[in-house]
Amino acid sequence: MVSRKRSSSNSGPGSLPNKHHNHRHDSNSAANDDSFNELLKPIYKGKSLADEVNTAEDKWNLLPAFLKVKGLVKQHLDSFNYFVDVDLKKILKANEKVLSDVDPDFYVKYLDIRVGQKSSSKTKDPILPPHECRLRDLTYSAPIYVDVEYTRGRKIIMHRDLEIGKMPIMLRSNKCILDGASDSIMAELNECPLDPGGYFIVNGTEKVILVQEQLSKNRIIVEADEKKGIVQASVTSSTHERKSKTYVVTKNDKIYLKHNSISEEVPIVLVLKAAGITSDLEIMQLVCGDDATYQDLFVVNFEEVAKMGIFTQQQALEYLGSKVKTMRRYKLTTLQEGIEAVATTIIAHLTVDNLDFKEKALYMAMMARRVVMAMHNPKMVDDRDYVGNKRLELAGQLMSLLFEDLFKKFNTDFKANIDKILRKPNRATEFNPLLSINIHSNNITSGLNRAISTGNWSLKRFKMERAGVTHVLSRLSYISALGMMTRISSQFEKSRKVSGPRALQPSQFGMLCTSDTPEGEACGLVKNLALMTHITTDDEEDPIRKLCFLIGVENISLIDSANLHSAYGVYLNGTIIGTTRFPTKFVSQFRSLRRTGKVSEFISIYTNLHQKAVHIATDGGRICRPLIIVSQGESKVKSHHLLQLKQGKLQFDDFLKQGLVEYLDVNEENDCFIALYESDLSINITHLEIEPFTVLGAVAGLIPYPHHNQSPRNTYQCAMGKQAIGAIAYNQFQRIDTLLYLMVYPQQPMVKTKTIELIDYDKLPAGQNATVAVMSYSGYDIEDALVLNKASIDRGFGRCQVLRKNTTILKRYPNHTKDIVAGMRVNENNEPIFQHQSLGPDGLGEVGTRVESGQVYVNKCVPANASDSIMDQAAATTEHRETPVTYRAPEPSYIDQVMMSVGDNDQALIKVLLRQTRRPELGDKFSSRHGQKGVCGIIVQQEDLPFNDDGVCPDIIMNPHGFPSRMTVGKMIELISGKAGVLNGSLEYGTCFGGSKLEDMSKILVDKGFNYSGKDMLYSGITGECLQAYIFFGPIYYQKLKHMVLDKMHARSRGPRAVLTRQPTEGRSRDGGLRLGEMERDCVIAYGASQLLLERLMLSSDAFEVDVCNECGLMGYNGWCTSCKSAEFVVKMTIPYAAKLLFQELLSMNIAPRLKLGDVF
Amino acid sequence: MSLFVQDEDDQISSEPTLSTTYEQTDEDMPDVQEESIEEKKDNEDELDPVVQSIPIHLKPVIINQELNILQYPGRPAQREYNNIVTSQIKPKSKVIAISTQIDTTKFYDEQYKYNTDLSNLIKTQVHEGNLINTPGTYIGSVQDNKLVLAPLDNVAQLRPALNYIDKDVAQKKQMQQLDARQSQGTGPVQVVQMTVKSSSDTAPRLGGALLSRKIADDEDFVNYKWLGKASTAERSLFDLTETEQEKILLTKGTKKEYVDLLVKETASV
Repeated sequence: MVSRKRSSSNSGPGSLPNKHHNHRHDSNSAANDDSFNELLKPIYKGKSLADEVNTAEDKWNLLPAFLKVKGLVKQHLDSFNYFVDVDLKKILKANEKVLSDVDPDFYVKYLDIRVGQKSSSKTKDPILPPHECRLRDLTYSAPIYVDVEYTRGRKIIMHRDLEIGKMPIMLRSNKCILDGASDSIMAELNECPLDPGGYFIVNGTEKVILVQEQLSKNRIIVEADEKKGIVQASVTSSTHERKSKTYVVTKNDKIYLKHNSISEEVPIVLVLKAAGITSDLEIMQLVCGDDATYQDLFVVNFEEVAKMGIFTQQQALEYLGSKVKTMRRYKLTTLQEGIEAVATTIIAHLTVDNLDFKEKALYMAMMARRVVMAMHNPKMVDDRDYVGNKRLELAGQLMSLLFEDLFKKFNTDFKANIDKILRKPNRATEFNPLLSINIHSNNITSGLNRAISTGNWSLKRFKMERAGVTHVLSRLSYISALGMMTRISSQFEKSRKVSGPRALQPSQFGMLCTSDTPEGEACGLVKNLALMTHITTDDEEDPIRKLCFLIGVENISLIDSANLHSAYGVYLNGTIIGTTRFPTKFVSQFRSLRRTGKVSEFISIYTNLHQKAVHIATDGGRICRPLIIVSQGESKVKSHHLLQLKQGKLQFDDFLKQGLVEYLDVNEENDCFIALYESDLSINITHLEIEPFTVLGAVAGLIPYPHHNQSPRNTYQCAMGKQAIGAIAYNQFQRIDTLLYLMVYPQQPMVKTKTIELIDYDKLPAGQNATVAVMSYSGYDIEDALVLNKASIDRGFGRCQVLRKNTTILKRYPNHTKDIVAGMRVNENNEPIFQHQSLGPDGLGEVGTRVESGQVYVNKCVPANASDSIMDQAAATTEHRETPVTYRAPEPSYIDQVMMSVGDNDQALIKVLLRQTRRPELGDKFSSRHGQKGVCGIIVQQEDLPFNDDGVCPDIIMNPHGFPSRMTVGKMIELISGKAGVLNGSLEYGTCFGGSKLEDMSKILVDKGFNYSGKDMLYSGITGECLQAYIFFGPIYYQKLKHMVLDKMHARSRGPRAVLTRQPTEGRSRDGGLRLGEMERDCVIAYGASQLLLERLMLSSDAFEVDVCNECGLMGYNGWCTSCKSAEFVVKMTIPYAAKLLFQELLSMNIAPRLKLGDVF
Repeated sequence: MSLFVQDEDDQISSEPTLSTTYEQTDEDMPDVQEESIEEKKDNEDELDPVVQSIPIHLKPVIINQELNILQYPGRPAQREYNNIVTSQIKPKSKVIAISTQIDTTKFYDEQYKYNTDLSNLIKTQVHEGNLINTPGTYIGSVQDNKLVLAPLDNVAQLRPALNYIDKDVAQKKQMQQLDARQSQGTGPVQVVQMTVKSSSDTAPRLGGALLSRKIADDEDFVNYKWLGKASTAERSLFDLTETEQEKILLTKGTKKEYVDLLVKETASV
């Protein structure tokens, strides 16, 4: 579809970047974005401005424009920016006053809150740059300032810029110093300009708050259990204060309201009466309208309440109040409890402050109506798994929940402190509350830090404990870090065996990647965002409500029950605000306001015909994506727009403002007709896709020709692409990470995709283009094993470096002693001893030296008596004991970097980075980009490998049996396109649903004198004879995966044993034994090798000699039976220690196992 | 005037901040513009062309006089209550109560349990409701091809209050308690330990709906002047003759400025 004109040889994109440096028309904002600047050059991707612009093929240009504005992690940044700029102020407003119980006149009032900026200054406070925080194990944070007003005696004093704590800052958010930084500034700060940001640095580690998927809040969800015959409508109300769930359920075909803090189910009619709808007629009208079938279903509900003799609102409230179970400090009357229940407890997100419960009554009536509808027609239930019913919770929202909790705690602590001081009868000085505010400021800082670094989100006010919210940002490769930023984890239990939540939902088209999900237990529960998605932040409701009334919505408070259901209800975030008689007109007017920028572009509006409702959503966490608007069967984006986009005269936002493109969320998509291609346009079509390949996410976008592959293969590649070793970032050599894998000579793929260019994978690739021959060779290629060419390995194929960090802290002790680093020790020849060979005179390893197993690279010494008191004057000068950091590994390493610094608690911090360079060896794992993994089975001399007419030898030989069952046709096409690209001197495209066409590629092959199918005639390297078949031969991009033999190889003859069982330890890291498990045991038994069995299971494991008394059958010791008090029948024998342990444990439980011995022979 | 106009009322919303600055006999600016916006939209929509345009007369806000809509859900609009006995209001908490005469000639059961006390026959029915302020809402009527709009203050939905049931229940409860206490008699004397607490510690701080309820309960009804149907007030409100010396208000701003004014809160930057 998109790009065919790659045939002219000078148009390869690789040749472009340096050519036209002088022709930049860029604006200031584009200055730091090279990938976008390319768009502004006269020739971009082989097309010049003079070329005829074809909208159908060039509208993909909107994509880089979108990503320039949005970026791949924009959702995180947006959310965090919203939190620090808007949400913080809202939280402050909601908790603005601290009052004292003692002095009624006293108050402290918060006026304003800012992060990282004082009220006086125009610029951000200078904060420690992020890379320094990484290296020094600090937290990248900025101070939180508040302005307060408080009383001091009779005076009211205002104080600005009071620091109440520090807020961890998300990298590249608007509070970060990298915000808007140019490439050169980024380089100065040791940051990679391609790094997307969106994570935090807490105590030196990069932490990501994963996107959490949840069922949408404050919306009615109707579900039915057909077996039990239950229909229920539930709504999870979420406010700043509390979270609660209200149900309207059927029980024996009658409808009840259920709530956690109401002890039993209450008839819905009674609740409606309590909410002031005392007339049965009105209840009937509200719930059922004129519909006779609904009325028949509902009418039974009146009976129960009538029998109870409840007619008035007061009676109903008192009844309700008697059922409420709440803990209160103050006793309320039942009537008051009832009012409180209706006003605040039930459907808590609609809080009533006055006497008018109408809104609430309507909401409950609507819930009842939805239940009645579902009783009548079981299809009228909602789907929990539908993406439109989901909301994504991002870093900002989670931070705001946490901050509010901490801030409340801060205020209560502050208040307690104030009360304590004010209660003192005669104070010498006038009380200054600010003196006590600083004491608690550490709580907010450490609370935020702890939550992010441990991932435990504990919110007291919701009584919520959530673990595993944050993860360490995976820096295995650029793509793994990027993949992590787009990941969405679901709150759903992994163990439950329901398929619904895991299944691919049709509604996730274009919103969530269809391929990128892990295999196994988290399959379908962990998802990834597609390339062009945006996640909304909260928008204000009130202006939208007013606007709705302006364009003809009739206010709900004016509508009487009889007329309610004759028109379409207008719902704002799930709550009815009015009705409209002309829904189509209303919706189209609203949309036209949105398209002209009069309303935020992220507000969605759609009609639901089944419910006779128009829904408007302004809440945050909805997934949406941009689409081209179509009117009268014509795309609004014309070629001149794209031309202007290319010339840099238009930005993506201009497209939004001009009403050419708009964001649709999942619900609104259902209200539209969206054409995939321009050729599909007709008069009914409302929208056009920008590019179909955006159904995939960033990670799946790496796969060339994924539309030719069997779908699970793409999923496998998504998992493996994250394990590929490659370039991590431009600052990879400045980083000191726990474990870092780097490829020595990474290459960009011959067959690229549009996504690869958009996410800059071509600048930080992870893999190499290998020449692959698909043939059988040597027999060491069975089961997907690969044959590698030794000469290729010598040239650097698959070579990688492994960098490992070791951190040493020089502690200070309370008695003024501290750890020191001692120098090296020398032998009699004045040469350093073997263990200290790599040490320098400072006692630290010298950069560049080799360390072997057993050698020391930090010669740390701890004081011999660190616990003595300070009084001991001698303590400060005591001798030290050596506790060196020794290198232990099968292969030697080289010292790459040594860093010494001071952490945040004044202790010296030494980080040593050790480097190993590894070349591929037998058993190392490789994979292509099509889910085809394999290990190296043999490394063959180049002389023995086959070669073609040109003398080209393969780097990798792959067994053809890998193809038939896997059906990875994309890999074959990648080979042909790659081969054509090599011959042609161009990079070819394998973009999903597009890319270079196979026919064109074959044409190039034929033109260059090759077979159209990519097969070559090869000659055997051993015999020199021509091979009997034509061999499929060409370049395929291969990734080296992180699983390497060197990290896994393990053997043990003798070694450590577990203390309790005396059996060998488990695992490589503990030098463990290799287990002869149950299945192996069964084999040995079946074979009859009883002596082998005895040796494996006992003698080589935990043989133990015990004294058994043959008389009583119990175990004694030292040849003495303690129960028989004799040595007469004691026999020595060998049993496993675990068996002895079992007998003793049974004895301790009052079970006496007795051994009866008999002769073996 | 009749207050039962909810069937024909024509609510037109406008920017609330502007609707407070009227001058007498002036045609209101925002409304004129609103008309023009409607026209513009209609022009866009060619399927729905403008057939006729009519002038709008906006009546002024009359100080010390409220125009309320009273809705009686559960009673057809055709069946008006024309036997109002009293009309009362709690001005602070905005509770309105209207009592009507019950037609005792039809379907009236004198033996009904709440009527047992014959001296206290229920002969009036009390309707209660809350007045809800609805800014930017108007009552309109078409006269001589002119639309006359009068600004509306409040809307209330009135429902039968049935206070006598509550009273009855409360009374019975009290009786029961008294009975129980008497039957208990004078039991053994109990020693009760008493502690003195300051009232501020124990008294609940009421908020939200509870507070509103308390205010309403503490407040007494005051009489509210009822202008019946036959009154001339209605005519004065809608009479065109009183607005003879009208000035036609022309807008100074453009349509775009007006629309921008309307969406100033929602517009994305």
